[in-house]
Amino acid sequence: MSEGVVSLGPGSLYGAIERMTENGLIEPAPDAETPEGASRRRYFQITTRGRQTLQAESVRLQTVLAHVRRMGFDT
Amino acid sequence: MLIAMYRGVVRLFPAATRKSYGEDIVEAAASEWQLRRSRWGRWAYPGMIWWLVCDTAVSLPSAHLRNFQRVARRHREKAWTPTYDVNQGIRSQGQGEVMDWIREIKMAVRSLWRQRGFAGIAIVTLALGIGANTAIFSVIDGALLRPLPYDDPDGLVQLSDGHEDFGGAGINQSIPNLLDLRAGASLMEEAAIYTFASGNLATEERPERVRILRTSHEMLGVLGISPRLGRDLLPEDDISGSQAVAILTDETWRARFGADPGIVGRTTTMDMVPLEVVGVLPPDFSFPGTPELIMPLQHVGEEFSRGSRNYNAVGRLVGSSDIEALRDELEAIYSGLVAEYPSANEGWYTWAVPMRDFALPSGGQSIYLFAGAVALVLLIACVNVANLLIVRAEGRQAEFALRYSLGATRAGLIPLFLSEGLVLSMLGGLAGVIAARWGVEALVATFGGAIPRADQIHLSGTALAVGLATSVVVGLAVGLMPLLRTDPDHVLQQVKDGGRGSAGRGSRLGRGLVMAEIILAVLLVSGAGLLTRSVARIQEIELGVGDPERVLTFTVTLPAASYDEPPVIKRFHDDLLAQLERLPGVASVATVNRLPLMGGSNTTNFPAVAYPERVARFVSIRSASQHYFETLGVPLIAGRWLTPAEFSDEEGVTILANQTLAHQLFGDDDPVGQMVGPRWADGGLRIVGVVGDILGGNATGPAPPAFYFPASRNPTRDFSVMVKSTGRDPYALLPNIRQSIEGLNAEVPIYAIQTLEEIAESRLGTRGVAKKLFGTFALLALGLGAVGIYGVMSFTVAQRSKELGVRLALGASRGSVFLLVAEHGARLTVPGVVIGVVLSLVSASSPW
Repeated sequence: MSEGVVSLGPGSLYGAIERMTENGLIEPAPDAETPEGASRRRYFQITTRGRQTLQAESVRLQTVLAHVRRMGFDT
Repeated sequence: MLIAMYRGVVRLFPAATRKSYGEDIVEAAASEWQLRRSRWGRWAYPGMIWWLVCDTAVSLPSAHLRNFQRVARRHREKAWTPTYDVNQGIRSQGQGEVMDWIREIKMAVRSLWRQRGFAGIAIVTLALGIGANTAIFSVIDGALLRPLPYDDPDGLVQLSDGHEDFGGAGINQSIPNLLDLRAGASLMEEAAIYTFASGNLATEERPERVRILRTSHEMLGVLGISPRLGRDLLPEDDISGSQAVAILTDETWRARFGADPGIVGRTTTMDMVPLEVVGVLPPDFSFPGTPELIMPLQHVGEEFSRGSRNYNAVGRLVGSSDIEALRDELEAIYSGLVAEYPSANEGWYTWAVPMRDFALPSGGQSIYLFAGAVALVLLIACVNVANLLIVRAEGRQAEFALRYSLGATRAGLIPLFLSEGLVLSMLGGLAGVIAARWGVEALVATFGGAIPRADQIHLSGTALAVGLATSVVVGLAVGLMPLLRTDPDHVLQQVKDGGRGSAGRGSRLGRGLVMAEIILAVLLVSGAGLLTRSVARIQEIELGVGDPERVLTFTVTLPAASYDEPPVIKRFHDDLLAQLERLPGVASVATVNRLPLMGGSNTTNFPAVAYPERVARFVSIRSASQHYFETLGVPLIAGRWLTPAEFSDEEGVTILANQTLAHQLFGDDDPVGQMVGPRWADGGLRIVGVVGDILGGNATGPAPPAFYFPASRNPTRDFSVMVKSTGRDPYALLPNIRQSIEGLNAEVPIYAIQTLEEIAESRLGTRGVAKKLFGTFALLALGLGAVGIYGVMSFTVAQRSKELGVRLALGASRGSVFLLVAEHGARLTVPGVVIGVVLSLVSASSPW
């Protein structure tokens, strides 16, 4: 998804999935099917709360970026 | 192989994580290994191992931390402590704070039910304190705090005269002066003139002596009150000689006329004069002096002396006028009256006070004293219960340690303790408020006339609200006290040490609180002791009468309309004595102008004829019937008794003197045969005998000088009767006595019925009342102090149970262990007793 930018180990990945599931940011996707011949996969989808949190986090990051730019750093 | 080894590492993850994502983690690792192997062959091993090690180093502790927080959250929710989700403010799901509190309270109730003995002691202790405070607040609220039951009471003023030689302001006024003041005062929109009188009112059962408020017709209008039945007084009622009318108070209407709905227009008699009832006042009507009915003054058309000061006035200020401005205006008018009528008004001045100051005199101050004592009792009760809860908390250290280890905070224990404190205080408050109802009745009955508006005092809604608020405050206070013993470091240290430990902060607090209790208890006990000694000293003083418990007394006032001549009055006296002497159970009967043991008598100055320089002052005048001294058991000290012939001789000059009078006039000389010459006795009076002293109305003073002469020489319409019973209960004679008097004249009531013993007790005044109440409080304080000491000693023993057990195991005797504990108790109580005694001595010797 990040085109290799973010690389998480399996423990960290599923730790993040566990955390986001407990906080209601993502949920298991009910209609996804594992493609034939592929190893078992689990699919998750973002929730409304997750979208709101992502939006809020995006705004926060943009605000920080704007502040950095105002300080004269080229980004 | 690598993935198989990694599968073993994944088993280190928490079970919940393994269950949900274990296979996914392993598969993710296997996918990555496959990718790397395909890219770098066997050179993928170091990178892959390093990658898994770094990932596991971060994700494994993180997973365990999440799991611990998840478990702690579950435990916290189960313990019903308000909590927030560990992820920064997202509240844990579930039931909300109100349900949390409800569960806490249910748990507190179950916990207290398991320790019913402890809970019972705490509830009873709090009930005593809260109930007593609710009762005393009811009395204060009803007597002093409630506004006067008039329309806009702050606009009412009481007028009076004043003279520096007669004690300043507060003296009655004369009708001519009041009429002039009323006419000239522009700041007073209306004023009513009134006075008090007594009369014999014919009622449903028998004639009753009643207290009458005689007033000009404006009174109810000035007070802003309307009769609930009938009409107000009219201007024509003020005219002298008009038909006598009356407005009854609600209590008089119910008690004496059976709440007859047809009372308006009914005719009865007052002093044998026809009286028409024209109205009934509302139930909440009250007026200083507690009149039983209102009648018109009937002053219009009558001549009144300007110097005859027997009246008062109540006025209403105009709008928002200031009383100071009214005083200035009245003083200006009065200056003119002084100038115009100097013989009546020279040296006098006029004064106005708010009605409230007149209606609620300083007698209420004693109530505040007792309120202070009762507040002390509540304080002691709270200290006790707080101590008991601290002891209880001491036994739950292991529970608190477990809570802390699972993530609870100290603040999270607050609802636990508050719930227990509130449950105890609300149950104690409920029991206390129920008991307060009887407490209010007991206080009113005990204080009697010392409390203003006593007839209107009851357990009010305000008092109930105060009781509820007190319960809540007490619950919060005692509930939070044990929190001092739940510092996490202290709790965990306690558990680690197995319950051993020096007495810490909380124990010192408990000891300090109990010492304060002991000091308070000693103060109250010493106060009660002082009062008891004072009362006992008064009671030890010889009254001068024998068997006062067997002598029944009552007062008679003959109506002037039928008894206006001395021979007529004397005949009634003689007939009454003859009737009563014939009654079964009567040992002897006598009449007198004023009862013994009572103050406020007629007095005169008594010079000795042979020694004109010797004058006895304020000598009590007693006109008595033949068997007076026999009825009272007064001894003859010298000389002889008056003979029956002398009792019948209306012109006789022989008298008896008491010991005090004889000594004052003649010292050690024989007084028998001496002549004394009061100004009103032409030719003087001869002392034929000396009788024993009888105490007067002053509880601690000596007997006043007195002389006695036959009632036949000066029969009075107002007189008292004493009937000595052969049996132990003189009240048993009352029905026959009433019948005898009704047989002579059905219109004549008897009143002020009491035994000589009751008169003697009333001489103690408020001291007797104070003794009873202080004694009760002292007993309460002692009992509560004992509970407090028990609480602290329980705490001490609980703290040292392991130490004591070790001592016993090492061979110490039970006696020595007991002495060890007792010594601790003594170290607790002795300093408190010493300080309490010192403070008592200091307060006893102070002028307050």
